[in-house]
Amino acid sequence: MTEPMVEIKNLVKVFEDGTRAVDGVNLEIMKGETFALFGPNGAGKTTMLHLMLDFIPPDKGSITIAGIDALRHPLEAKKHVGLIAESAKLYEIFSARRNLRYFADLSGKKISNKEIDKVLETVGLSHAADRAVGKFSAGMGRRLVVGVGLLKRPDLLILDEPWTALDPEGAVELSELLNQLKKKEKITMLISTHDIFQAHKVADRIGIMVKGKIRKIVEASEVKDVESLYLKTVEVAK
Amino acid sequence: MIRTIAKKEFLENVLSRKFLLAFILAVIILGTGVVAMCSSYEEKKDWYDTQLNSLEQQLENGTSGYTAIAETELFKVLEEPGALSTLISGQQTTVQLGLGTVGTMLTAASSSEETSSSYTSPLWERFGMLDLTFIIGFLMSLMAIIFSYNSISGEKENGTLKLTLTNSVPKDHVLLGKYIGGTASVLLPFVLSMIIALSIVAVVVGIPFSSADYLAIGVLVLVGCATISAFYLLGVLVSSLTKRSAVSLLVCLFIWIFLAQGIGNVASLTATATTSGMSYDEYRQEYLSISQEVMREYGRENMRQALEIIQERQTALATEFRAQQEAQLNVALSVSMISPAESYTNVGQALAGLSSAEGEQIQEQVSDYIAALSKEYTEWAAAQRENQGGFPGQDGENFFRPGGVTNGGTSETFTPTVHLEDYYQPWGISERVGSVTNDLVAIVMFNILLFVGAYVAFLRYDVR
Repeated sequence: MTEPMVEIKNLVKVFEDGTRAVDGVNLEIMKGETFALFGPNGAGKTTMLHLMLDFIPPDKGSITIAGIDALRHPLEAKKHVGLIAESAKLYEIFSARRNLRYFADLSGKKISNKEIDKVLETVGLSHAADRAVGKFSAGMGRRLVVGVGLLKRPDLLILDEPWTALDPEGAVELSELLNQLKKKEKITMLISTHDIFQAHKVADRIGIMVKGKIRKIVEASEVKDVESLYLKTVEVAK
Repeated sequence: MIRTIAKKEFLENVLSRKFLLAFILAVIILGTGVVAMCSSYEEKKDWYDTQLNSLEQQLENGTSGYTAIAETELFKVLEEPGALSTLISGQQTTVQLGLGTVGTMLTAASSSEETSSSYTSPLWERFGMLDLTFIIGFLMSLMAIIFSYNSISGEKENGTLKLTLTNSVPKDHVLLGKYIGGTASVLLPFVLSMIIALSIVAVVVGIPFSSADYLAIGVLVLVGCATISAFYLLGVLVSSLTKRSAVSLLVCLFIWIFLAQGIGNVASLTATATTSGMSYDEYRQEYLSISQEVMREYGRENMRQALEIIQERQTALATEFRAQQEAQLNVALSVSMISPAESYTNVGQALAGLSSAEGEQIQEQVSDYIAALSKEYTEWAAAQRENQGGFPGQDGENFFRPGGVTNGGTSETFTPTVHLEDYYQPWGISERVGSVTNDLVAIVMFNILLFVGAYVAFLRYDVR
């Protein structure tokens, strides 16, 4: 983990109502690292991800992904990025395999059907590959969304509230899957979450974000009392 | 990328239940509509043949006045049912030559009691017929809206828009792909149902289409596709301006109701409000009062002069009233062009030969023909009077009839050298298309403006 995969410098986003959603954020995420951005609702985590994905323009600052200026060359930068979107539902009328084929074709990379089968296997959906997604359970649907994120073998996988809307069993399953990916695929991951307990199981470092600023970055391995960290963050947010 | 997105959009729609519903509805409505109109066509064709036979019989027997010559010639060309009436319903051109006839004034075939009104079965008059303009203006436009109202906002709600745009896909490619695939999926049931309908008309029922008819049908299908595309883009535009599908659906339905159903009333009200003139009752009263006024002024002793003045003034009034009605119609048609559905109806009516513009042209040509025939008859009658001395009989126009009539042992026959074909030139497809250029331009402009609007809205769309 010597080279940075993500470099964010002095990033600022102020919404029309005057809210400083992202307020001078500086952040470096190294290659192969899993970084969890933890904070309460409205802390600016998702806004920061949206700025990185060119969904909204920043007011100030710079974002570099895999050495590419993501603000000047967003389409180029996106070639290196996969997204696991919050509560995303795929095309219900299509099978899991057809959904993955569609996103594989969109990725601009040549992804074979074998690779799609491998992704289905990785997310544990080989048995339901030809089933319509509309018939999937919430957990299966979320696993398929993870599959979409992994499909183009991204250098950076962005996960936006990945544990939301999952039951405890599903949340644990997803954390295990992410840990497997971390070990096997060596993917760099940026996770935005307000579930510090799951984030702690997966992340190498945890950034505490409150009111648009990253107040503190801690090594996950050094956090012994997760509950205390959670309570302190909530207190700061108030 | 565009192809990938278009293919996805097409398949997503085609595999959905709404597509199946659209297809079944289009086939049922167009199929039954066409069968009904074929039946109506055949009824009218039988009626036409019978009436024509009767008119020709009258001519041969010489039992009718010389007006029968004009009546028969006009009837032949104006009342013959066209094969396109199996796809587009509507009132065929009615030629009006004034409310009353004085002296040698003729009533055209289309306005005489026995042969005037184009044949319409009471059944179709009561229940109406669902023709191609209904399919496009109502059913397919609604389907286009139903297919597109959530094309952007729905993907935002599902989160798939974010997943799509996380790839290196430009937004304009996404919009173009969605438009191409989505429109194709709405056009498919329309085109398939058209093929089925045409097969019923041409093959099963055996109604003969000419090559000009096929060309007109081709134009109708093409313009129909452009109209459906405009409604699809309307749905995409609204979807790009709203965050939630439910809101988008409500807005789309509101606009659709206005464009597909409400525009007629708005156009009529605007036309009557912006153009001044007399009502039909006022016109009729004034028309009838002319005779009384002139007769009072000239008296019975100057009857001949009075009749000429009455005819002149009544013709002028009728022309003025017709011009006023045309002006109102033109305003209404211009206003109605804000709806692609109405523009399509105008195009359909024009291509089927049912437009008011073509009617006006026919009116002028027929008037010229009648005037020429009348003049020729007047001159001929005057010559006869001179030869025989005095007024030629008690029954006026019936005295000199084609078959010849005896008057005091003299038999005379009026054989006109003036023929309708010298005056009446039916419009070809180029004239008919030319008469609705504004509507065609309006439909194209709708597509361009709505696409540009959707494009700008989508570029500014908040994907989050």
